[in-house]
This record gives sequence, C-alpha cells and structure tokens, in this order.
Amino acid sequence: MSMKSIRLLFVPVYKKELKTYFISPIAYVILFIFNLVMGFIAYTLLGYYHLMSMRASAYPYGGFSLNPTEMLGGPIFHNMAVTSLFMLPLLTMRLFSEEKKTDTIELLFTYPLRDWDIVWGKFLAVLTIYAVMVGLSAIFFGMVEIWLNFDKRAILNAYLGLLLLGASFLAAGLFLSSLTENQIVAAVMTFGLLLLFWIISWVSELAGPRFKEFFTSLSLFEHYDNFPKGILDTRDIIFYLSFSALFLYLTLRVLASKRYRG
Amino acid sequence: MIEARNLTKYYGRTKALDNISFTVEKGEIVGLLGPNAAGKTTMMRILTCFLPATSGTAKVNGYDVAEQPLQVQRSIGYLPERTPLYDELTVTEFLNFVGEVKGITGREEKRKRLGTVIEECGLREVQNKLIAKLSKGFRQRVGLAQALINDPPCLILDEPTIGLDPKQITETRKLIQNLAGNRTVILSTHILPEVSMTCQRVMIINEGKIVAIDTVENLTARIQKTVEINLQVEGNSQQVKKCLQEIEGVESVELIPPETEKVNHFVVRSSRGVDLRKEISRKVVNSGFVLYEISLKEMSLEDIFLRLVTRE
Repeated sequence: MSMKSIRLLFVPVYKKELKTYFISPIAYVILFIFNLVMGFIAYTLLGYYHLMSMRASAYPYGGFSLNPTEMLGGPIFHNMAVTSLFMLPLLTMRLFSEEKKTDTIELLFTYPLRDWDIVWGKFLAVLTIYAVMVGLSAIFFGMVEIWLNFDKRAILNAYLGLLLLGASFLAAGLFLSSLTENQIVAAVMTFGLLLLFWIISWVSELAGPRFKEFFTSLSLFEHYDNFPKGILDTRDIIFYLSFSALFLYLTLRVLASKRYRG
Repeated sequence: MIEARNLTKYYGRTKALDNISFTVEKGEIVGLLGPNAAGKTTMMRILTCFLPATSGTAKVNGYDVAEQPLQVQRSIGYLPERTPLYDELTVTEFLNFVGEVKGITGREEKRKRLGTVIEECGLREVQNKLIAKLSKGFRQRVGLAQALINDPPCLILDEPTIGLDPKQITETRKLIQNLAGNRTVILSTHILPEVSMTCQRVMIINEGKIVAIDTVENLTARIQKTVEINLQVEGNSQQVKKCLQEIEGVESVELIPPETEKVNHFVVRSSRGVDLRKEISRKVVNSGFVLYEISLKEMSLEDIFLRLVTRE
C-alpha cells in the first residue's frame, strides 16, 4: 500500500458526496433559490442606489458621497450571510443522518477509510457546493461593473469572509448531523445553534464591561462585518478557522464514540 | 486466515459475545448459525472493524483488527445485514466509488475489476440503473459485487439470502458458491439447509458462546448416539417385527402407522451408533419377506441445531 493512496482516501468520499448532491435536486434547488433571492435583493438595492444617485446629481459634487462598494456591496454581502444561515442547515442535514437512517454508515465504516477521510470528504463536498452557490452571485458584480466602480479588493475580501463564515456554518451542521438519524432534527438543531451564535453578542450589553468583549467576540456575525469593508483582520480569520476546526473535531469524536458504544 | 482469540463484547451491561475463540483456514467456507441475537452480527462487526471488542483479539489475513484496521478492511469484502446501499447512485457509479475507496487506482485496473464483478454477479442488464430501482435479488447481487470489487481474500456475509424469494435464494446461494473460489468465507444464516449446501464447516453460536464448531457430518455423528433405520417391508407386520427384534444389536422396532396388509413402514433403532443395514436386509430377505426400501435416517441440521441451542 503506497503512502499516496493513504493520504488521498478522502477524495472518493468527496466525489461521491458531490455527485449525490447533484443527482438529487437538493443542490440545484438550493443554488437556484439562493440566487433567486439574492438577485431580487441586489435588484432592489440597485434600484435604490439609482434613485439616490439621481437625487445626488441635482446638487453639484453630491455624487462624491456615493460609494457603491459600501452602499451596494455591504448590504448584499450581509444579506448573503443571512440567507446562508437559512439555507445551509438544509444542505448539511443529510450528511450523516441519512447514512445512519439507511444503515449505509456500516458500509462506510467497514471500508478502508479513516474517520478523518469521511469527515473531511463530506465537509469539502458541502463547502464546494456552498462556494458555487455564493460564487454565482459574482455575476451581479460583473454585470454592474460596467456602470459602477467597485473596490475589487474589498469585494474579494468579502467573498473570503463569506467562505469562512459558511465553513463555520457547515462544520456545525456536519457535527449536528452526526448526532441524529433524523434529518429534520439535524436541520433544526443546526439552525438554532447558528442563530444563537449570531445573536450571542446581544447579551454583551448586559454582561458588564468585563464580559462585553468576550460575548461580542463569540458572535459569528460580528467577525463578518469587517470583510465587506475591505478589512482583513487575522483575528477574524482565526475565529472562523477555529470554529470550523472545533466542530470537525467534535464530529470525529462522535464517530469514534459511536463505534465504541455500538 | 481468520483467527479470533477470547473475543468478548459488552453493550453496556449486556454480554453479546462471551470469550469466543476460533480459527478459519484459508479457502474455507464457514457457516455461522444461531438464533436471533445470538451474537452473529456482533462477531462479524468486530471482524470488519466496525465495532471494537471489549476484550480479546482477532486477526484477519495476518492483520490485527484493533491495530491495523485499514489493512484488515482491505482484506475483507463485507455484506452487512439487510444490504444497505447508496440508493441514489447507479450500480456502476456505486461500484466505482467502492473501488476507489478500497484503493483501486488507475483507470484501466478500475475498468477491468468493474467489468469482472459485473459479469460475476450478473449485473450487466442493470449496470446503469439506479440502485433504488432494483429488485431485492439484484440489490443482493450489488451487495456481493461491492464486497468483491477489490478481489479480497476474505468474504464476510451477514445473512445474504434473507428476504429473498425461493428462486432468488437458490440463485444467490449458487452465486456465493461460485464466487467463493479460493476465498475464505464466513456467512451467517437462519436457513439451515443453506449451511449444509454451501459450507464446509458450521459454527453454531448461542447467547454469545460457541456451542459447536465442526463439519456437518461430524456434528451429526456426535449428537446422533442412536442410529435410526427406515424400512419398507412386505409381509405380516407382527412376523416382520418379531424377525427384526431377533437381530443382535437392535434396541427397538417401531411400526409406523397406518398398519396395512402388504407393505409396512418400520423404524429400527440400534444403540452405540452401529449401522445394522447389512444384517437387517439379509435377515429380512432370508426370512422370506420382501424388502422394498432400507435407509439410514440422517439427522437434519435442524435437529442438531435445535438440540444444541435448546440444550439446558
């Protein structure tokens, strides 16, 4: 057995998961609905921006205060994050639950794979679908680019933030899917957990000065705000990476303990 | 090839396997018999590294199930109970996935192995169908195909014929016999004739313990202390009975009703496992009766099984 074949064992799992999403209508429905909603939001925001620029043009130098990256990009990226929060639990809910329900987990666990290959393959597969999902929205920026000048670095930065945020959502979803064989339960738990990690900063005003910073820094969305502004802070990157890593690790623990309990 | 030593498995406080030890030689087909919840599936799951044993060790193809799970899993083709499969894939897609997972690299090798198992398992006509659309018989064959895809030296099949109709059962059984080749096979089943038809050795387990492990013939001999001989003889029933009782070694003669004027059915029992067919036939014929039929009553595997499992 060569080293190469050991290291790349997650690849077949990845390919199979990806294929499964595209065979069933799940991937197409999620890609379509997400971009339908985003298209509507972007269209509306563009309309408002158009109105404002018309008004501003009535005054000399009025247009200087209009920044498309901030006024269009900002809300669009915020809405993409919120829409992802609604959509991603539906993408991750089947990952382990379905295998447990249909007993295929026994096949998977008796194939020569390490738990890590299974978790990593499944995670990368949903991450790929998510990347395609949000990536399609770039068409919008490409289209209005003819008339508007975006700060390209800020837009790219925002996409990076979106990817990191999504990875955290997906890792949490993967973990919760490994806990139950009921997909609805997995989806609801994921949605609830993500929502809690979004609004956890609300408590920071009540928590007193000492814990204010702590609760704010736990919020999934507080860390996201910097990205569309073009700010790349290593603290935000590390937060998302450790959030994802923690849940991937917890998933591995669940898989290991499931084996021991039988 | 497969070696288990003092395997014990607890689920919480329930003991599923109790200090089980056995060896299966290379190329042997061993049937695993036992009532439901006897520990058959648990044992197979330990051998396939799906579950760890609470204590004890097992080796497959020279690899330890606890220490070298990847090597063990590469040496085994496993068909779990109820044949779980990825319904959303087609047969070819699924088998390709399993092939890649089991370390078949290279396009050419993959295609060759795929072609071989599709041929061996008779999947040609359904190879591009979704697994969800297959009949139970075909699902079972896909299950066997995924076990065989990397040509493993060992096969572990958990109730491969359950839920099939009689025709499919016969087909699957034949398939297993053909596929066995020089592979080591452990298969579990409820259906006793299946074991005597396909397996060289039988392992009977009950309540987590091995009750017996031997060939069907030896098991029969061991349990069958009295030999029973069936006779069909024409003649006066009472005279025939008397004549039979005179033979040395005969313990009892039973006339099986209905009693008729012509041919009657007798059962002769002899002790100490002596086969008296020669003496009986000679005596019957020499006494002027007509012997229509004489046969040794073989103990069926059902009888053996019930005796071993229900023994107090």
